[in-house]
Amino acid sequence: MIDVSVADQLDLFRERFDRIIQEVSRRIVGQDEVVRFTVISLIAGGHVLLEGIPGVGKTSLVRALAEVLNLRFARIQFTPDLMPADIVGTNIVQEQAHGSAFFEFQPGPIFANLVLADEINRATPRTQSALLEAMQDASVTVGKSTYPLEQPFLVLATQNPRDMEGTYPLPEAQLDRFFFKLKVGYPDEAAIHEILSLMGQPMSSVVHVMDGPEILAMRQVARSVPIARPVQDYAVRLALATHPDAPGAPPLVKRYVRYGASPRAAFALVLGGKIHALTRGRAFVSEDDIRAVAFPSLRHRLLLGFEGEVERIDPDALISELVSAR
Amino acid sequence: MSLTSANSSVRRTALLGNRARHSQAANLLVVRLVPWAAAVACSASAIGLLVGGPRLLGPVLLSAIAIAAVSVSMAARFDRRLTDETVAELDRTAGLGGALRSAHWFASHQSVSQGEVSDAWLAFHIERAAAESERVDWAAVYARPSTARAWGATAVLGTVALMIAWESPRRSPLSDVKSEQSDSTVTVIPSHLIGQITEGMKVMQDGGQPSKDVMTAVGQALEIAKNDKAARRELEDLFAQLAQDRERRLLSGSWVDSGQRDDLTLPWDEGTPAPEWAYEEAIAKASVQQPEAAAADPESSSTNEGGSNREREPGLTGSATSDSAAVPADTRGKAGSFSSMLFGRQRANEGEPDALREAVPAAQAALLAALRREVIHARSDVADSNRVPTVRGRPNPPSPPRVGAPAEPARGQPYDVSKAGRPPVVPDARRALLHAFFARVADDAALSSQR
Repeated sequence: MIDVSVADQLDLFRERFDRIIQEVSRRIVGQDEVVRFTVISLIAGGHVLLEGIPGVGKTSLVRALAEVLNLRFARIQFTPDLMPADIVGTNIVQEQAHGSAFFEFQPGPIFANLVLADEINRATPRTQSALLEAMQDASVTVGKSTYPLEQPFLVLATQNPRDMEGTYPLPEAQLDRFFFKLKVGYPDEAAIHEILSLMGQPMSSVVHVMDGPEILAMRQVARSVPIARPVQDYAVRLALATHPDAPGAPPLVKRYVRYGASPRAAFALVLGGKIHALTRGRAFVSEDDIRAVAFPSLRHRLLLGFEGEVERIDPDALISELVSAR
Repeated sequence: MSLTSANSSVRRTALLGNRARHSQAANLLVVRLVPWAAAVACSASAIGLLVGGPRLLGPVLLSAIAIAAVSVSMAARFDRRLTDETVAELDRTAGLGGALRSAHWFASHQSVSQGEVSDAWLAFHIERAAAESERVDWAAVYARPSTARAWGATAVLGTVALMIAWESPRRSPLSDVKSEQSDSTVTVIPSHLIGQITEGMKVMQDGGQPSKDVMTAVGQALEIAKNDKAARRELEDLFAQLAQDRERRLLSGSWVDSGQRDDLTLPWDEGTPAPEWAYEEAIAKASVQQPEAAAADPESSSTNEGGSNREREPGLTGSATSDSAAVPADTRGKAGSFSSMLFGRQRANEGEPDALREAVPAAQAALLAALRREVIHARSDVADSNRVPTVRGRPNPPSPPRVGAPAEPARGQPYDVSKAGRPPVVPDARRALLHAFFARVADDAALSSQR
């Protein structure tokens, strides 16, 4: 007989996921896929890099998500003069009542559940690197003290395209720490009409559909989804095929890619596939789920070579070649 | 549904699906190939009927086709080892969204650790996949192709093949035609070529040179015979026929009566018949010399013309002792022995006073001279190319050598047998004469000794 609890978990997961999407979509119009993958990344515990031109709703998306999930939200506007201490916090001198002084750690904005790193590529690489430990280990080290971050912890960074003025490309190590990279495109005509119609109305308040512990519970459910070895092999082969020196790499990858995806990409493919399967009401992962999350999982992990940079090769074209070939 | 039964159900479902898949593939194969195979069998039967091939070829092919079709259909019913690719294809075709593939893998690899995945989730997945896949109608998923048209065509073609095979021993049009052709004489070489070849062969058998038209005709006939067995056979038959005609002509003689032909023997060998040309030449000489002799001796000439009181000429009477016939200018058709005429030369040498006796030896001498000239001609054929020319008068300036011609020996250089070229082929008509000439030396010696 079918395990009812598992079936209930599956239904509950799907219901919650749909509710999140529904509530966020009330504020963000015309970016359904971005919202969907952002929520998937949130459930997976991964960070999201949102890339798009200004004014397409990147910041609004993160803010709406924080409100829907009832999480502690912090926004960091990255500028070229931003210092790492401005992000992670610093020790400041405190004076006690009897006159003695001591250092007290003053947490930075990184100590939140949902951190919006707005225009992250406008800060210097040194400041950008201040996020590395927090994103990877969910902890911050200041001086000799390491401070854990509260879970769920999620960094949603927005960046303008790299060729914009006054931007600093993110280092590869930091790029790899983003679970997904989502391209926030320009909304279509109908979406713009809807946005214009909403502008005259007061900002609608979103409903808190869940909180942090429920997000963590959903994360645990997502990791319980079984994945058959052939499907997992597919994800691994897909990640390995991004390496130009791999035997199964397609010609486009061999020509334009300098470095391929790291093992974190395979992890993102599998975990993202699991959550994608759950959102479809399935308790198993199929190759379709892997393919569905292949683009946001791989596009920021392909480091193009000189020829690819010169010819302005879109990594999505390479991923499309990979997905269609396998 | 327990996990074990769910596992079994998933595996069984996959096997059923794979069986249906193979069955569909086998049916497709059979439906596509069997009508063509039946057409081949029908064609084989038809060809066998036309050219007289094996009678049972069509039925044998039909039987082989039937056996192959049944074998393929039966083989599709056997369960095969399922690979992940096969199950993935089954899953995809049935539209199960990967559930069957994943569940089948887990059902087949239960010992593999799944890390954080609990057994409850595995059981849930497999049981749900089993329930979903059991609802799949594999017969509908892998529907059998429409076979009515294919089997109808196969039935028609097979029936035709069997009917042809049934009819083939009774009637075989091409074989009948062949037998008719083999009975009748088929002329492959054109008749005008046959006529020219026959004429040319006769000329060559008589020692003459055939004309260019004849040689062209022979060449055309040989060209035809090169690629055509019937023409070659016809040509061989023609040559054999001509050879037989020549032998028959030599034996029987077409220019003289058989009774006279028996008497016409060579002077040195009465058993050897004299050739026609020798006879004609001797008679021509005699006809020329006889008027001359008559003019020189009118008496004898008048006596000769009257013939009544002419002394019998042994050479013209058929034998040395016979005196039954006079000697006319032309003895053909008249009584007289040619061989006795030749022998009469010897007696004429003994001193016959009569003018007629003078004429007869002249004919004999002319015959012998003709024979000797013939032999000399043959000898010159042999030695002429290497003979030292006789220098008479002012020598001509040296002419450029002919291409392919043998080197001309220097003047005064003795005859070198080793440099002699290959002698030309002696015509068959002259072989007997040559042989008789050389044999005559011994005969003459014997005669001299007898004398």
